[in-house]
Amino acid sequence: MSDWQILGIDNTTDLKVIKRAYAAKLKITKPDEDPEGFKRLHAAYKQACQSARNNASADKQAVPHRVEEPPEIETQEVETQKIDESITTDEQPRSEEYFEFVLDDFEEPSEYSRQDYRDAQAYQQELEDIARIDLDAEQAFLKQQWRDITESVDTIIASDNTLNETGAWAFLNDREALLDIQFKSELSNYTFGCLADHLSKTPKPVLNHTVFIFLDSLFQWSDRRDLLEDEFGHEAVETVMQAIAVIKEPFFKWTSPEVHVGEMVPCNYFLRLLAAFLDWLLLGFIAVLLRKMDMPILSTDSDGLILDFIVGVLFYLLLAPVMESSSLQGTPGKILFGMKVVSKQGKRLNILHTILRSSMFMLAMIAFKLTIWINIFFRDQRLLHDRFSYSRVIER
Amino acid sequence: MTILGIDLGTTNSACAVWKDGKTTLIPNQLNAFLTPSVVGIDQQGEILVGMSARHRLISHPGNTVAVFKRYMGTDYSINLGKRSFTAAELSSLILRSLKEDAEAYLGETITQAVISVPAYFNDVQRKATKLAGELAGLNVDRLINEPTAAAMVYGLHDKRDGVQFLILDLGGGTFDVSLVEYFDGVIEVHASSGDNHLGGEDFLEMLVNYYFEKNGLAKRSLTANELQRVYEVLEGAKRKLSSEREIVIEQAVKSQQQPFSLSREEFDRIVHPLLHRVQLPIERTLRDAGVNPAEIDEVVLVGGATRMFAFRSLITRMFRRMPAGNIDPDLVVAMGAGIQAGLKQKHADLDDVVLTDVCPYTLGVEIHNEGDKNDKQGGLFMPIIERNSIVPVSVERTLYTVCDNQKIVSINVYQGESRLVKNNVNLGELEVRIPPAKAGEESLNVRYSYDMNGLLDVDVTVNSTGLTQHRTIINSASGLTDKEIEKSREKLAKLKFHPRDQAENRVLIARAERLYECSLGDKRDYISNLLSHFEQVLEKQNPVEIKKVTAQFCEVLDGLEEDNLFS
Repeated sequence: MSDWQILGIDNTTDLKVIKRAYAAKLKITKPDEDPEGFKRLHAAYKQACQSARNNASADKQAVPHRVEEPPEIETQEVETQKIDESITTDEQPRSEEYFEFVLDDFEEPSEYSRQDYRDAQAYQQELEDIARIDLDAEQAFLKQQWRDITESVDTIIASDNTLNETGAWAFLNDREALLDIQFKSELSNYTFGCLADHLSKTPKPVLNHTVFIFLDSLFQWSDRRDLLEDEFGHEAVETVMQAIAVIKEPFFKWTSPEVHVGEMVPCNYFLRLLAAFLDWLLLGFIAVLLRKMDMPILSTDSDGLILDFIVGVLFYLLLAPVMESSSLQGTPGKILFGMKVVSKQGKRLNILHTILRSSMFMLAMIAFKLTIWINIFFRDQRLLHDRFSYSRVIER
Repeated sequence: MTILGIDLGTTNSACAVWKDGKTTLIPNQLNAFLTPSVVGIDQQGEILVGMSARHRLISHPGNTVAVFKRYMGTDYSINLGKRSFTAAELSSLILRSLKEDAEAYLGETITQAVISVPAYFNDVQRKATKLAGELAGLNVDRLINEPTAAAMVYGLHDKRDGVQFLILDLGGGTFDVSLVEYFDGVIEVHASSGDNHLGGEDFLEMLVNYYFEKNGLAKRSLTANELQRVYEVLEGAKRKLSSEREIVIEQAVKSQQQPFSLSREEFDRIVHPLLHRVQLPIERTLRDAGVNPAEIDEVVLVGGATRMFAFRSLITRMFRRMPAGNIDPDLVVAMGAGIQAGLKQKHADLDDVVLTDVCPYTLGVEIHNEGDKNDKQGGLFMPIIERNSIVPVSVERTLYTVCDNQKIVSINVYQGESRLVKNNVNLGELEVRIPPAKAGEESLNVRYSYDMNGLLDVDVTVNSTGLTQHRTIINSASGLTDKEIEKSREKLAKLKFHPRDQAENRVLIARAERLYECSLGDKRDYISNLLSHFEQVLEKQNPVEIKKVTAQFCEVLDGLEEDNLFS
């Protein structure tokens, strides 16, 4: 039996006719009563819809993909006679029928669960404003965003360095336009197309695994690989998938981006102690060198104590703040142990902020025999001077 | 014979029946439609369910449990006082209470029910829900997917023809998305997706963590009562943010040093990761169904957590339109379950309504991974039933042996979308003996059948011998034998329950105790006096006086509650 015979109609491209026929047949072959019949019927229905769509799309152009106008928000009609009833409290527990269940007519049955939502309509207006954004302005905004984002994507992909740097892509995370489903899916296709194009042109294509994971979690490429293959062909998808490789991060990097990307992992207390010792070792070395230079001012300083003090203060008041507020984001000890200094939000500190931090550190050092023990007990690994200067030390 | 439609929720439950040509919600003994999904036990060892238990969460956190639907289908045991229960047993207590409410309201005994489950619940969780029904003395005729239930209400309510709904169901603990079309009385689900661990409770958890971080407090430094109080206050705050731009919490617990203020923008920022997780299933559903956002006629919000401004504004931004939520999002699923119950009873007025649903996840089997030399990846996943296939569905695939003289083939049943089985959910195992032969010569036909309840049957036929093994999937975690089921039935039978006629007074006492916990100084004495007065009156058993005092008491507590919530 052909699909059309099962549905009991003639070959047609009118979806409405197919649906009506299907609905009529369905009522005599309900899925829980006649599963086999239902399966046949449903398969025929799907097939009929598909061929109707194919024929129809050959006839005319596809429908425009965007709503021309935001749908009207219907104001709920209140059934007035129901209200009178609800005012007079009746003895019997009254049950509501769903047909009357419109918002305005809603009588609060439970005192607890919904009391705070009573004025839910209060924000209705705000939402309407979001929904009713002037369509032209909205389109212009999306267009502008599209230009902006695709341009960035182009430049990122153009160079292998930026392409494989997770930080370069992070900007996609907080673009409002990506909330729009249509926009996002178009951008997904655009990005994948560019990526496949670029990788197929490079002789030895490499795509950083972390970058791919990021893009995949944003666009869910691996979830619907078949759709991508329909769009770009099997070859292109395979090229991208083959190019994915784990790029080992270097043991330590000298510079660090302005804003930290990813999770902020606080550094271990003992590692930080080690880093501080390393700095002190460096300072001691400098002091020894200076002493060897035999300067006249230091002639009174037989033990070299004053010199040590001057070097220490100079370092912590000038050099350390400069280093920490530069793109190094740390003193040599910290950099070597893979740490960096950031604000609570993960941003690089400015020079005044790092001077404050260093001063706090020196204050803590005055009583270091005490603070060294206090610091052990901070579970979040933020030590006294971190706390007082609103900063934190995290892994690079 | 009336069939009861039940929405067994993470935070609240409700039930409805089909009566006089419409779905009718059933009020509980407190005359409310919602029964909190909370179970408690009091000093006398009597079980409390619903509102009175909800109030006791603060005053007796050790003897009260909530949000146990999360553990459905696991053998995780939840302590309640000195006893321990599984999630299914606790759920059966809720179901039992709903059943009694319905019996009192309808005046007949009820033995059959339709229970709603999140669409993304897996086979194991569905089995556990069914078991909970049986433990409560209910024969579960049908498990209906929650978004599908909601779609039925909206479909029958809307009456327009050829409407496409996108149902977003964000409940206390789960998030479901379904694309549903309604035409000529047919309610057809096109695609479904979801997240089993995303709901209002997760938003609250994020907020609580933020609160602790902001105030420099450690969670474990608080007593259980204080912790519960923080949750309570922040839950209130979360709700208030729906109508207000900013809220301030002066002091939730003593150790809070400074007032804690929270603006909507801040809240948005805190829950950003969760909002991202909301987007994924929505996009997947649309992609699977091949539908543009513009083709959807109505975006429908279901579930209490959809009242959050953060959620609504996200949805509004995603679809550039107002979501519809004109039917109470807390009750719509129960109403839908009521309609399904009516369908089950073959009510004449529902004769024209047919519901078709899909299987929201891919079901498959583990196969040998040849490329896996060092055993890092594990087995590969071979899909048998693709996600969003219309149910009932039954698909057969042939598998071949991989070793020479292989004696046993173990069929590992998995659910999920990943290429590797280790990232998917194991639903069970089946071992089949085969005659020895060269690799690839012996073959098995594996047939998966997925029924309207979302339960899976597996049939394996060895082709050379023609032997068939049949099995409904049973997972080790929930694979209770009849003996174990009998045991938990006995355990539940031993429990004592509070007499139903005093329910209202119990709630008042529990509520007063909660307020007592949350207040300080003079207010405490005042509440304590009120309580003892109230208890004295109750003992006299004079109905007129009790009624009078109850009303007064209620009023005073309302007043106190207002003062208390944000002080």
